[in-house]
Amino acid sequence: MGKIIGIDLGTTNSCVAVMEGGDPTVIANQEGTRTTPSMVAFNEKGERLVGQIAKRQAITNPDNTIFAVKRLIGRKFDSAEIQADVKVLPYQITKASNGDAHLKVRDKEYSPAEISSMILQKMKQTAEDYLGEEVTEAVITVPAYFNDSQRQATKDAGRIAGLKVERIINEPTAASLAYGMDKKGDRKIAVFDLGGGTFDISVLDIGEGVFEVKSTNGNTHLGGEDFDLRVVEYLADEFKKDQGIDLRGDKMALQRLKEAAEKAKMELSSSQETDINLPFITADASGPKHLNIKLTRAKLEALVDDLIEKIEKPCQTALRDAGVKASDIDEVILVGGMTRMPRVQDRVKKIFGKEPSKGVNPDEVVAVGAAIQGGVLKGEVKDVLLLDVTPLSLGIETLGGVFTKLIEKNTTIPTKKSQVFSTAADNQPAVEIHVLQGEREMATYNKTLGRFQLVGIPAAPRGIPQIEVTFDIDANGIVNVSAKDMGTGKEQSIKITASSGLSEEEIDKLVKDAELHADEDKKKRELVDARNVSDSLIYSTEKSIKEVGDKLDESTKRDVEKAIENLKKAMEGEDTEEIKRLSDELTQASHKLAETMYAQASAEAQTKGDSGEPTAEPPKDDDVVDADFEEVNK
Amino acid sequence: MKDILPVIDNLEMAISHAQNEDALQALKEGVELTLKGLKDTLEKSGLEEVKAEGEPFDPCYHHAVSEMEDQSTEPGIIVQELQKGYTLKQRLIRPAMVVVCKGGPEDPTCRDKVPG
Repeated sequence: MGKIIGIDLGTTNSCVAVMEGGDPTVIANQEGTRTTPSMVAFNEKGERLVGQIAKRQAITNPDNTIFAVKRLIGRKFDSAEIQADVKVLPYQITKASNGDAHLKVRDKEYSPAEISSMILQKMKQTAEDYLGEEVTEAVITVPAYFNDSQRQATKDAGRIAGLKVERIINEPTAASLAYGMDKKGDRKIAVFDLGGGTFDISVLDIGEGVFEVKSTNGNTHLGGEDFDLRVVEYLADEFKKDQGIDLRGDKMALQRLKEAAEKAKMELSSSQETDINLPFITADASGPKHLNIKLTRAKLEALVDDLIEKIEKPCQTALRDAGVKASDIDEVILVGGMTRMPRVQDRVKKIFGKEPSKGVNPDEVVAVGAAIQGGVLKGEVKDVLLLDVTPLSLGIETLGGVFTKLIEKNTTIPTKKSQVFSTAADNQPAVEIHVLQGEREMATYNKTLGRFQLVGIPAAPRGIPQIEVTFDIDANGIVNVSAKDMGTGKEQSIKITASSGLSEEEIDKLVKDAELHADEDKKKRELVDARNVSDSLIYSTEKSIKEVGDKLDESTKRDVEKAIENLKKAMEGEDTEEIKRLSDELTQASHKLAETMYAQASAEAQTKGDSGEPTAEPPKDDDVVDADFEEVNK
Repeated sequence: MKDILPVIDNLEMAISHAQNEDALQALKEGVELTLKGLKDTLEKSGLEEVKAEGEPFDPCYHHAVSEMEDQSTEPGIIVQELQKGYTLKQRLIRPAMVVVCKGGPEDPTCRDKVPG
């Protein structure tokens, strides 16, 4: 049986690791480096170049060199995120027939998953060269905020690369695994990930080997490259001040500056100052010019101060979303090369009030965690059980356009939940199951994942048919929704696949909207609830009147009918309080009705029970699902 | 390490001689000899220069930092080497930093070769 490799498929760099004799090993690629640029290029001979090689030729072939494809995977072309990227990415992004963002390179269209698969193939090859055997299985990591379609697309990429993706796991979860957090008992962990181009902060809850992502936040356009750029700008400014020559106009000089800036930044993580020495950086009429600038750690920190400032807010938001205080966090884990910078570490320490853990190489920690997970799946590593969570709540639309959540956001997955729903009208032949994702109370404000109909429901009064709706999310976060008529056994289901794409911004927006509109939504929800309550009250009362028939004295009947009429009128309006008040009035009036019925019942020496609540309702012709439900199982 | 020490000695000597302006020619020769000595030493350990100028651009050995119009040569050919690249025992340790010929609008064959 072969090994399961762990792959960190990053935005700027990727990394592969495998378990060997119980320990994770990071594997160096053919070029001798332990991380590989996540870049793919197609040259004019139609050859495919991946990794460092693609990077070296990028300048000669910008239209056909693809980088940062992770920003596109599983997203819709029309999403705000893609639209923003279209403006800055040099390659061509197109809209596929299913609305997804695709890429066009040398007249051929590729999906982001295909491009990712080429990077995965390179990682697979790297592992095979090292292990000397074929590799067919992998664990791949994704950001915790990745939604269904992004996870699905990542899984597809693996499949295209000839890898069976045994598990998609969250990057912060992988990092925690690499630190052996599962062995330390119950703890709350913050994973701080500042990489080449993106910043993610996640709060995890770990207990009894279960990893649960409580919240995530971050900035998709903040990373080490921004820091390097600041140093380059500074060096170029200094040189211009000194020599009067702007190095930014000189490609070669700029390239040397970039390399020197990155090196200086790294050196300043361990020393207080460094010399940047670039002899013969340029020349003018008077002869060659050398760049020799001393850069201190303090100066570097001043240059990037506002960038470091940007990490605080997402951290605070993540803590708040997780419902914890900084002091509740037991450990802080650092991921990504930028976390080597002492100033970044200081800031993290200040935010969380404790020294962050930094034992594992931050460039490799995610791949190491993925390899450990691979070991778990192969049975090489014991006692770890991985559970991830859904980023947003899932549910269906019910009577009155209400969003009824079946699975709350941040529920650990895999999970399965069922609820029994019923029809909203008498003799309703079908129900429509409208599957939604989001945090708002009303269905229309949430994201539609899919819809389907369950037909052939036998004629029955409203509320009688029992339709069991089941949400099933597997370990990879793929959602299956089914509806079953308990009476007939008829069943329909839907698998929510790649078409379900929500952009990260959409998620952010949904969550923000939910916060923003919480009050307004609550009011709307109350109104709909009041209407629904009134509706069934009227229905059952009218039904009772019919059953009691002429045994009811005229004045009671008139009172009840009057109350029904008033309530119906109020229900057409928007005044929740008025509906509630009239609803209470009807309840009062129908008490008399109940008395009559009980008297009748005892008089007739008990013929039948009653439905508990009062009376009838106006027929509805719609296929709306009623909100009456009871929970069946969890 | 020991083999590289003479480079330091020689360069230090070169700098001390540079204080005497008349010695420029001798200084140049001295530096040239030092350089040759260093290269010989490193070549013995398996170091080789990457061929660049006039060669077709190959990202396995070359890192392109810019493109240039040049009618005198074919597109995709390296027209300038900005920094040498090296292999150590056939393994690339640093790619050569190069400028590559770009197909100009005056040269229709170039355009054909670069679709899209």
